[in-house]
This record gives sequence, C-alpha cells and structure tokens, in this order.
Amino acid sequence: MRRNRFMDRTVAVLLAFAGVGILVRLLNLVVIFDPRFMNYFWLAWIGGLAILVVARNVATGEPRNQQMASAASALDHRAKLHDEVVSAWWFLDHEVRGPWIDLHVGRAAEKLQSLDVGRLLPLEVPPRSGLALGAIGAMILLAFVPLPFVPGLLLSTPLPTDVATFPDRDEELDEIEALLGEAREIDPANGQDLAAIQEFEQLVDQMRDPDLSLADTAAQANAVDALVDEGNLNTNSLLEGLEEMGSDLRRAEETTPVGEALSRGDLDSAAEEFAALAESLAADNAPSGELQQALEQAAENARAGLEDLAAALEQAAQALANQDAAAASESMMEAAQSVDDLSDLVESQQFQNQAAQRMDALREEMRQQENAAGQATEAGGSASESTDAESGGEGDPSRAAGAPQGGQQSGQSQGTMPPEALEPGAPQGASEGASGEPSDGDVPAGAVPSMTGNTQGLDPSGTGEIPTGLGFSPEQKTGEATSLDVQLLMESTAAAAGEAATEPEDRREEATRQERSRLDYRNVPSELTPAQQELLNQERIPREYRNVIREYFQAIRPQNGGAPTGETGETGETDD
Amino acid sequence: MSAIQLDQQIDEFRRRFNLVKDEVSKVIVGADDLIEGILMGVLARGHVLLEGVPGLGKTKLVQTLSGALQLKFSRIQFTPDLMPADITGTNVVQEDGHGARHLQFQPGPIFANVILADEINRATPKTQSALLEAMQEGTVSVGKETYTLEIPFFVLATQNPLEMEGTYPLPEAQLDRFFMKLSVDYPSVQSMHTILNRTTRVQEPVPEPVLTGADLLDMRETVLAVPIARPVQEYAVQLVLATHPDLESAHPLTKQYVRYGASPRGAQALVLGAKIRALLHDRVHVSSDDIRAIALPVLRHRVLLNFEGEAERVGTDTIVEAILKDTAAP
Repeated sequence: MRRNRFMDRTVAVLLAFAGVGILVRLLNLVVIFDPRFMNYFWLAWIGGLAILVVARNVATGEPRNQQMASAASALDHRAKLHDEVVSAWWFLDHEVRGPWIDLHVGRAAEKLQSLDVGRLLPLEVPPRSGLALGAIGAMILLAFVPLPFVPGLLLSTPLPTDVATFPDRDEELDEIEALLGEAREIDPANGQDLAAIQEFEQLVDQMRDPDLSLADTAAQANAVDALVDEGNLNTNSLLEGLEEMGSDLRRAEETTPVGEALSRGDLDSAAEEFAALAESLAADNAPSGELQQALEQAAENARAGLEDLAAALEQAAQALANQDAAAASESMMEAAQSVDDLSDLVESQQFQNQAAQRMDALREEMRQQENAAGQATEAGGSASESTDAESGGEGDPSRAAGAPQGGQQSGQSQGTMPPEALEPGAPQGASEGASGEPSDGDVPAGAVPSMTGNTQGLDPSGTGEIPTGLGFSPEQKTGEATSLDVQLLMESTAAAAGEAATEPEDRREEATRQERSRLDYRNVPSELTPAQQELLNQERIPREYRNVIREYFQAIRPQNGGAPTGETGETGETDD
Repeated sequence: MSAIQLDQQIDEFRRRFNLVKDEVSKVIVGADDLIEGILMGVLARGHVLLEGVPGLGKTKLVQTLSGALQLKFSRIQFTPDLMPADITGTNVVQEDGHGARHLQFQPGPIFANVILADEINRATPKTQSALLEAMQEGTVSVGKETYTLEIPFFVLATQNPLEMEGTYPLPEAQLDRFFMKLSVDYPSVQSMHTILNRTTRVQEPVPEPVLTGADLLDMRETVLAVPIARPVQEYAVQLVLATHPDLESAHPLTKQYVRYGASPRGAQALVLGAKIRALLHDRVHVSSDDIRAIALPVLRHRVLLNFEGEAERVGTDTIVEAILKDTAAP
C-alpha cells in the first residue's frame, strides 16, 4: 500500500514537473532565455523535483493510523470483506471494547490470517506513469536534442563539426602564424607580400588578446582581407599571363617544354626548362628561327608583374637576332630566375591563403559563439537584430541597418573578383561582364559573393589551398553606408496664396531635381592595383580567337604603306 | 457473554427470522424482499408502508405475517369517512345495574400488536394523523386519559399510488414515522403460476404462528447489540445529509429537486436496518453494503420533492440512487 502510494505520488509529482519543464521549453521557442537562466532553471527543476517527492511522501505523509485505515479499506475492497477490517481497525484504534466487538475483531483477525495480502495488494504501476514517462521523455527531447530551427532553444548553438572549437583558439592561431612564417620565408623580398604578412601577424596578435572581441579586430581583419585578396588577384593575373606566354612559347620547338610548363602553371618546371634552354644556347646549339619569333611574341604579352620575364625574353630574342648565343643564354637564365621568383610568389600566396582560410574559420566560430550569447541575452524583439548582426559580421551598424555596400574597396572587391573571372580557364568575357559594375557602389549586401565563390579557381594545383575566404568574410562588409555627396540647393519657387504670400518668394527644397554628385566619376583617382587594372582593361576577345584575329590583322597590315600582304606571320609586330 | 454464546444468539436470530419468512412464503409468492423488509421494520421497532396498485397482495401479505406471529392483529380499513375515534376508540356512556351512568373508554382497533392500516391514504389527513402518537410513542390519548399500547406494536400500512382517484397524501410527519416504504410490483410469470396454483384449489395454505411477542422482543435486543464502527456510521450520516438541499454536502440533484431531506429518524432507520441485515448475513459488524442495501426503502419516502421535482416527475428513488452512487464508502 505504502509503496503504491509512494509511486502514485511520485508519478503525480513527475507529471507536474514534466509539464512545467515542457512549458518552459515551449516558452523558450518564443522568448529566448539567457543560457544562465536555463541552467539555473534545470538545477531548480531537479532540486525541486527531489524535494517535492520527499516532501509529499515523508513530510506530508499520512499519520500511521490513517495509513492503516487506508490499508484496511483497500483490503476490504479487494477481498470483499464488507468493511470488516475497517470496522475492526476502528474499534481497535479507538479502544472500544465489548463482547460483540471482541467477537467482531476476532473474526476479522481470522479472516486476515487466511488472506494473502501480497496477492491482494500487489505493487501496481500507477495508471499515469505512462503519461509521466512520455512527458519526461518529451521534455528531455526538447531540452537536449538540438533543434537548429529554433535559435536559442539550446544552451549553445551547435557548431559545425569541421570548425575548431573555441578552446583551440590559441592552437589555431599558432598554426596560422606558422603558415605566415612559411610564406615569409619563401618570398621575403616581395614588398606586397611582406605587408600582407605583417598585417596578418598583427591580426593574429590581436586575436590572441582575450579582451578583444571580433568587433575590435574587425578593422585589422578588413585590412588583411584586402591585402590577401589583392595578392590573389595579382597571382591570378600572373598565372593567366604566364599561360598566355606559354601558349606563345609553344610555337617554337625549343621552348615547347617551357610553354607547356607555364600553361599548366608548373613554374618550377618552367624555370628548369628555361635554365636548360640557356645551357643549350650556351653550348652553341643552333637555335631555330621559330625560337626568336616565339620569344618575341611571348615578350609582347607581358602583363603587370611579368615585366622582368618579358624583358628577359625580349633580350633573349634580340640576342638571337644578333647571333649572340652567350647573351641569349644569359637572358634565358634571367628568365629562369624570374620564373623561379614568380613561383615563390605564388607559393607564398598559397600559404597566405591557407592562413586566411583558417583565420576565417576561426573568426566564424567565434562569431557564432558571440551571436549565440547575444541572442540569449536579448529578449523577444531583439531576435531580428541578432539575426542581422549574425549575417552582418561584427555588428557594424551600417550592416545591421541593411545599408548598401559601396565605397571603393567594396566596389572593387565585388566587381573585380567574381568567381567566374577567377577561374584560370574561364573565358575572359565572363570576368569583364562582371567587372563592369564596381564603381557603382550600390551593390546590395546580398550580392556579395560567397567566401568559396570568391576564391575558387585560385588554386592552380587543385589542392584546395589557394582559396581565401578572408577577403569576403562577413566582417569585411561592414563599411560606412555610401551616399552621394549631395548638396540640396534651395530654389526659389512661386508661392501659393495664403499667409506665406507676405513673402515675395518661398524657398522650397527640390532635392530630386538638384540631387547631383559634385564629384565627377572621371576625377575619382583609381586605387586599383596594376593587376586589377589589367583585369579591367582586358580585351573582350576570347583567347582562342586571339591568334586568329591577330593573324588576320597581320595579313591585312599594309606593308611599307602599301596593300596588305596575303600571308600571316611575316611581320614581327602585331597591332591588336 | 462469550463468543460462543454470541454466535448462538446470532444463529438463533437468523433461525427465527427465517422461520417467519418461510412461514409467510407458504402463502405469499415471489415477495421475499417484501417479507424481509417488513420483518426488518418489525424488528427495528418500526412501521412499514407498502405501496402498490390494488390486487397485488399487500393486505394478504400483512395478514399472513400476523398469522405467523402469535400477536394480536387488528385491521383498519381506511375510508374517506373514517374518523379518528374509529381508530383510537372513544368514551361511551355506560349504565351500571344501579342505573348510574358513567363514561367508559371503548378501545379502538389500534389496541393490538399488529395493525393493518389498509389503504391508509384513502382517509383524510385528519384521520391519518390519529396514528401519529401511537406510531411514535406507543400510546393513545383520548380525552384526558392516555393509554399505553401493548408491545410489540407496529403498523403495516398499505396505500395506493397517489395518482389514483380518491387518495390523500400522507402528512410528512406520518411518512417519517414509517421505517420503510416498500414498493409492491407485479409478480413475475413464474410467481403468477405459483399464486394461481396455491389460491385456486380447495385448500389454501394457512400460516402457522411460529414466533411469539417475547421472541420478537429478544430479537430486537440482539439487533441493538450489534456494534457499528464510526466510519460506517459516518457513511450513513453522509447519505442522510446528502438529501438536505441547504447543505454544502448536498447532492446536486438534491439541491435542484428536493424541498426537505431525511430526518435523523432516517439515519436511525439506516443503522438499525443495516444491523439487522448484518445479522442476517452472519456478521457481527455493520458494513457500508448493508447501509446501501436498505437505503432506498428507508430514504425514498423521507425525501420530499419541491415544486420543480414534482413538475418534472422526478422520482425520489432516482435521487437516492444518485446519492448512493456519488457518496464514497469507507
């Protein structure tokens, strides 16, 4: 009996507490509680449950005589004793005696001795126990199973499994710093790389400071983004230029291996081939006439950053024209050295990209944790602000307000670096079509390319190490809201009749009519790097047709001011 | 008194009870519950009201019972012109041998042990009330004199349903004095055959007297000695209080349809009847089952309906059954 009552009361308490727990969790769907509150709530829940179970079964338990009366009643009902035990127990408990009562109690005692009390009153599972277990299960499910569609439902937002956890922050920064060290060692002489690495190292130092938040390091991160992105653009431009040079060099038999190596982006092999060619020339091996022409054509395709290589090739071509094999060999060696330097540059950029990628992942992780904590502390209506802050990165006001992305930096980044344009094998027209809009400055935030979309195609080796997400990480898009520098001129207009008619003229603002920028776009100084300008100024002719077009114009080119020749490749110059 | 003696006393009680019951059952067919109820009323020092349409053997039942008891029997046929003095008796002028005249009390039919008040609700309330003192105190007051009735004294009244022509409702005070009100229903088919077999032959069965007045008084003492525990008694009290519309503990149906609930006499009747039933079931304690078993005949005539109840023709049996259903037993 007592055990059954205990179970009954326990189940009742469990049911009530499970109801409270579910109610709070459901309320948590609407109102995002502070995680600390939820922690305290669960502690209180468990403690309260234990206390109430004990209190209901011990402190507030029935007195012994009532328990006995209840047991007697249960026995009477189960054994169909017609209240014999209840009646006998009452007489005994109240010490009422008499012949009839003694006879009654004696009969009741005999009956009880013949009863199997354990069989009559077995341990019963309370009828509501199933409901209570279900409620407890539902509560546990709600409390501990992640529900990603409910922000703040969990104590902490679940993190992506491929992102380092917060305690690994210092370790991650160490590895980023090691990557930067490798980049510095590979290409110590390159000034632009050095600046990017220094900025990056400063960012790493700031990130090590536990007192600084993501917002505090946002400016430094933006600077690093810009530099890394710029390096990527330059690298991409270099690779494309080298590919074009390789295409030109494949025209001569001697430079075919070099051209193939350049075309596939294998700069180390290209440098070795250049060196081998230089040795071959030094050994007085007679060069073919195609070699000189191929070198000249390759030198003509020099892009920004490839000037040294182009100059070396041009000198080599000139030396060959002068039958100076030694000079040609020396120029080839210079070309080999130049290609080797370019290889170091690309490799350094790869390390920087790896470092940027890891930094991006680390900052993303920290942002998620800050957002989770921020959402938990904000109540109700602040949920939307939290969402904006999450998508806007560092909580920059302009981003939270949904201001359009503008300014020079953002415009360049978005306009010059569409994913398609960065594909080494992509048609030029794709990048040009996308690059026509950078100066508008009205690209909405939603139009910002994704991190992976920004960087894909920059990995010539296909290892996935080249892409950098830092340049397009959310915190970078937190610049000031752009606006035209508008002067609202006051214009005199005819006044309507009325009180204001006492004045001869009313001054009204006509902003829409007078809204003109005082700054001519042609006077805006370009802050583009040479590589970026190269991308912007690229002709819109697909590469595979360039030679055809070049040959066409060469064919119709007037020779000595006369009629065009009917053959191609006879002139050393092109006019495309 | 030892347990063995008590056991013998209980056995003797049951033997005598069954003796009377069997004797009556020789004549009355298919009315065991009625016989038992009437005997309970007799043993509880109460009176019993039998209600049923004419021809169901109510009068025959009472006559047979009186025949089984060695008691003085008197029958009063209630009619609209019956006067109270016709029941109680009156002082008449007597002249002795010397020519002197004096008043002498002439006892009425009420001076007997067993009174059959046949069709009691055909007399006017004034005449019906002539039974009040006798039924409660066992005395009759005529003029300045009060006469004590011989014990045992009990009234077995029959009445026709109130819907019938020429009937007067019994006063509430008199209704309350009846220990039980038993409803007489039509006999079953099998009982009808038995009735026909017994009553349409040359010799009808005649009951033999099997119990004396002294035996009856002994049995009454046995009944009063049966103990009842407070929880069971509390159950009886709760049942009675549930019929009181003004109390918080009243049943919802009571609050809606009842004008007056059962009096303490109702509680007394419940306990006494339960004690008798316990003895009949060879128990020396009263159980809630005993109280439940007799609650309907004990309480049905003590619950007086209000206008709404009368208008909606709510039976008091319905109310009592609802109370029994909703009141928790110990």
